Amino acid sequence: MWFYIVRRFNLFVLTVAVLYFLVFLMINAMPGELATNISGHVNPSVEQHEQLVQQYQLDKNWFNQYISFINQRIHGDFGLSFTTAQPIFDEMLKVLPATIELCFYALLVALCLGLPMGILGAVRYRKFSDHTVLGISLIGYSIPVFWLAMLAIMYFGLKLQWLPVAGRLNLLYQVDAITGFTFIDILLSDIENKRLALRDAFSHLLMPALTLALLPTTVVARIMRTAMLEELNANYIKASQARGLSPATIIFRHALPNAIQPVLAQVSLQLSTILTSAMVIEVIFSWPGIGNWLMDAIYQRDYPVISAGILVCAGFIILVSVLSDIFLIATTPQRRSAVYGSS
Amino acid sequence: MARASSIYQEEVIPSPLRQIWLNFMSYPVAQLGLWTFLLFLFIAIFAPFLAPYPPDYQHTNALLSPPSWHPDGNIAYFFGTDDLGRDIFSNLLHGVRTTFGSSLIVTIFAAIFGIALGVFSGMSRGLKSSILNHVLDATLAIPSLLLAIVLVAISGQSLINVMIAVGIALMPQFMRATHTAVHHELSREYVIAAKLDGANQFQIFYNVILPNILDALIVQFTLAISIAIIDIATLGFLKIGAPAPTSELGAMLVDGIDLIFIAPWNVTFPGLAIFISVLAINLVGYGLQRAVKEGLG
Repeated sequence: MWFYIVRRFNLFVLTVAVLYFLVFLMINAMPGELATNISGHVNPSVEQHEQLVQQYQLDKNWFNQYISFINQRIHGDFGLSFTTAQPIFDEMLKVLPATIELCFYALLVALCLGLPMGILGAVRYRKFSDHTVLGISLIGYSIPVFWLAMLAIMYFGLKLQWLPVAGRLNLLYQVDAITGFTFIDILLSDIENKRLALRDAFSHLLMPALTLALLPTTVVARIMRTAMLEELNANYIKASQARGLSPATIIFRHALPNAIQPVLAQVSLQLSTILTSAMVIEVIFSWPGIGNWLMDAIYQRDYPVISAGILVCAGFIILVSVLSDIFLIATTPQRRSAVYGSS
Repeated sequence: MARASSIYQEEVIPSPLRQIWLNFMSYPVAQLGLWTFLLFLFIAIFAPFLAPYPPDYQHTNALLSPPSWHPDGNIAYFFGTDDLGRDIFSNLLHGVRTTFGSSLIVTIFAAIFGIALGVFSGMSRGLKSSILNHVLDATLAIPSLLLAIVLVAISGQSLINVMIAVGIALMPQFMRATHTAVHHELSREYVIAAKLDGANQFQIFYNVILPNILDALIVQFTLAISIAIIDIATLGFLKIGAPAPTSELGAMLVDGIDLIFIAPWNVTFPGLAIFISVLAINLVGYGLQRAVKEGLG
């Protein structure tokens, strides 16, 4: 097991190094001066320029530049933003929790809805409810998320006026950002109408989280259905049926624990898709997260912010996939041998 | 097994691919998806001949005309017009041509490169395969949207850049699917048998493995088209996709947002077009998956 973890960790470091190299190449390819693009100092004085050259070893060859680039970034120095001249790292700390919050609740909804749907589909294989589950998941998978978000805004936000259409919290509530997660911040703060503020935050969250959840829900449902079907056809299920166990026991005690593990691994593979749609959702609902931040950066050609955003998003995806891999291996020992053989 | 309708009592066993095709066609929803797909393909190729007007022609006497079935509608503008008086039906046909057509082209290129690399990494062992896989993991981790943002930042906004970004994002998926399939087949007995007969790497791949992974690749291909359509439309929607005068479904949608109250048809039709085309492709993909599974069992 430890051998495996060390091995995975090595792979993680290597993959991140490749990622850094790709981003390094991108920065080199961006128009403008390299020292400006890499550090974010728009008009450096002569001394500052000297210092930047020192810092990023711009007078050495590309390999030294690459190493010092990694060095700066790993120590949390992502340079300055062109537009605000603030350190990018601080800005990122402000926008990242919003995105994580949105994705977390969306994934929670996706698991809560998708898993039962998948189980239902597998248990009632090729019956009416199975076809319904499949139909819903195919349709949900095909709806473009931005279109759905706009229809939701049009109907629930503007026509029925049930839900707010933008932002995370009504401006009436003065809540200081301590952790960056709205609910925790509200609970930590000392405002009077905590209950009302929580309700307001919830109503702001509802529409973006539900629209974002649609795609992962369908994916989870389909993967769960396939995995569950495979388990239900296994011999040990037939054996437990022969012993006269009730269907509920068979499904939830015997088949489900085995079927649910590959689902988690597959969902982590979908993370990059989820992050992409989260960015689109953020733009539509004016959610102050990393997607909104990056889109502003692209409209203003803010190269340091763009490169930092890519590093963080992609690094996060790689990290999650490695962690889920380790989790999967830790819980299912029989997979270890296969993994040793393949890579 | 399908029995040939001849007077002879012989049973004709169809070839595997034909069997999959027969299974596929016996599934009405998948067939519907296939016909819709072909319809969209037809539109994508012949849009300039089908469209009643040029997509950017402005009918200044009919601004914001509602769809033709509306009491105020005009049959000359079947799906109505937008705020500049452009015919939505013509725009839609050209938009399908841009979005659907370019996603087809992107997917074909991504499939060629991705499958080639996947075969290479799947057939090789050790360091070579390992290095390829890491580059792949790193690219797979960068969302297509971010890639497109970078390409637009580097070389400006154009349809080609969008296609390249989406293609780069799709390639690792092909590569991974091919790699897994090839690896899976390599450990089968019949491959070992072929190896013992003295077949070289190329022969093993072309004659032994390829026929067995072809179905998985076809399924992957259809899924990739649907991802490509959604990605291209999303980029158009975020205004970093195809630049302004090109009719593109996502860009049409975002242009319609401002008019969503007075002229909702500006938003409904492009969205529906994206939805239906993606749904058709997913239906085909699902039907193929099912047909392949039944062909085995």
